[in-house]
Amino acid sequence: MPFADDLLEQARHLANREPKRPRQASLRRAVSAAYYALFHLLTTEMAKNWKRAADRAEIARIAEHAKMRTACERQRSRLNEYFKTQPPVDHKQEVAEHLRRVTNAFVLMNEHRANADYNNSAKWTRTDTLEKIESVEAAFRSWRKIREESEAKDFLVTLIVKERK
Amino acid sequence: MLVAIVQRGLVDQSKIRAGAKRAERALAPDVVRIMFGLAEDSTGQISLFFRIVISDDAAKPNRLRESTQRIIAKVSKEIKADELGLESYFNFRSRSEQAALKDPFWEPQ
Repeated sequence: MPFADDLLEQARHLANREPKRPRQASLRRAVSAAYYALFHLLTTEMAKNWKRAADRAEIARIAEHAKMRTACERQRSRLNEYFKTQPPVDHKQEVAEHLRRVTNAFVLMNEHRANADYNNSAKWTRTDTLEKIESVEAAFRSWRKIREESEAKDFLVTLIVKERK
Repeated sequence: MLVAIVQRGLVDQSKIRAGAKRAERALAPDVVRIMFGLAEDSTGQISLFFRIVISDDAAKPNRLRESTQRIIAKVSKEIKADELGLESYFNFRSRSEQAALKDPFWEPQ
């Protein structure tokens, strides 16, 4: 199973690790693992578009969390503007909807992961943790529907390049 | 504070509160209560942080995704999230989880 899928499976495992009273450590690590699952899904996919397979692991390491978040915010904003035009329900619109789900999940999970990793005053519950994991699972499903689309491949490039105005 | 100064101007919290209340009423009994606060997120941007207590039924595994997606959509619509220009973050817990935790931050303000 790909590493990203393993992380997502691990997130579910941690969220359900204690059947009665879940430990904060399990829930917080579950949220963090779910975020990292999405992070690695996108960086791995981005690297796969690099022709020389031997360089792909290094290419994936170029990705930085903050820059990826900014790229996702920008892409999501573009897609929101597109949806305001009430586009026809067609293949393009379907791709845009899936990509918006992916970018939105990344932005939100980046924040929840920071909270889960560093905020000791926040109390997590299983309900909240599972909701976060399910948002990542939905993003995975969406990504796999559009990963071969040019819109999706263009988006992957924006994760590591500086935006030109 | 009723009005907060954010990057894009002023945010009238009373309008957000009214929108959240409308959503809370419309989404009952799945939603028990909706609370929110304005705070900086990890990037330093003032953002909306929602704390939403949902019914145990709405939190059931087979309903959770559908329930929370519907709640997020309704709250976003009622507070006009698009126009606010603020990021909204949502956290959920079930009624029985909150009853066990007795977390004052999640009790009615």
